[in-house]
Amino acid sequence: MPPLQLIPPTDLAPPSIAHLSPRDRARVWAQMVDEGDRLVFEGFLRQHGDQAVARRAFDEWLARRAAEATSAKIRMLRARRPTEHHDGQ
Amino acid sequence: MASEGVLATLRAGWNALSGVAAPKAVIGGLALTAWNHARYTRDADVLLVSGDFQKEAVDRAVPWPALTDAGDLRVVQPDDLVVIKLLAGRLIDRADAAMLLRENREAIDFVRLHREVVGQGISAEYRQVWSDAFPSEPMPRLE
Repeated sequence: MPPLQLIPPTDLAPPSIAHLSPRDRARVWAQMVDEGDRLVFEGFLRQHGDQAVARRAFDEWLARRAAEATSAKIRMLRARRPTEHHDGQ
Repeated sequence: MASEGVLATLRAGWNALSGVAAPKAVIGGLALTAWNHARYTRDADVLLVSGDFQKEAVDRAVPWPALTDAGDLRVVQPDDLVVIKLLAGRLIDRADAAMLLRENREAIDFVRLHREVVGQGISAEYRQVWSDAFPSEPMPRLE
């Protein structure tokens, strides 16, 4: 089995934003969030066909994401404790 | 717009923490934006110091005036963000770490990064993100 690839190779990766100003990089992020939300919501709307149900499904999706992110942060902070260090190799 | 809500949350949280006597800096997916990697995230994460590494990371944080009008907003350096991402440990965090390495090679303090990687016991995770960021280059020896 080939090793897991985390990011695309440079020739297939999306264009770098390193040349943009910090403010324009922030605009790229804002556009991703707003467009991403719109796409996900439209997916739920297509699936359920009803605005209120789609909104509820979208909110639940956001809550699941938030819970997963919170548990990752707790894990990250717990890893700071000296007694829990391990090299993982 | 959701992005405005995220920024408003960050601004409000940052300002609310101004009375706390601990230094702080932006981390998480939003901080990637400062370091040449933008991706979808609605989380506004702020690190408050609670340990030696975190204190150093926050002390080394740089001003980030471009994101919001929260006057003294700061963001951790890319090498510290790599360590934080590797400690968080999800697949997306490791992908973020790989992109941070690739997109910020000149800005990263590799001596500090490698010291933290060894000290935090995340050498195996680091080896994986290095090989994805720089597939044609062997990973430097970690002392």
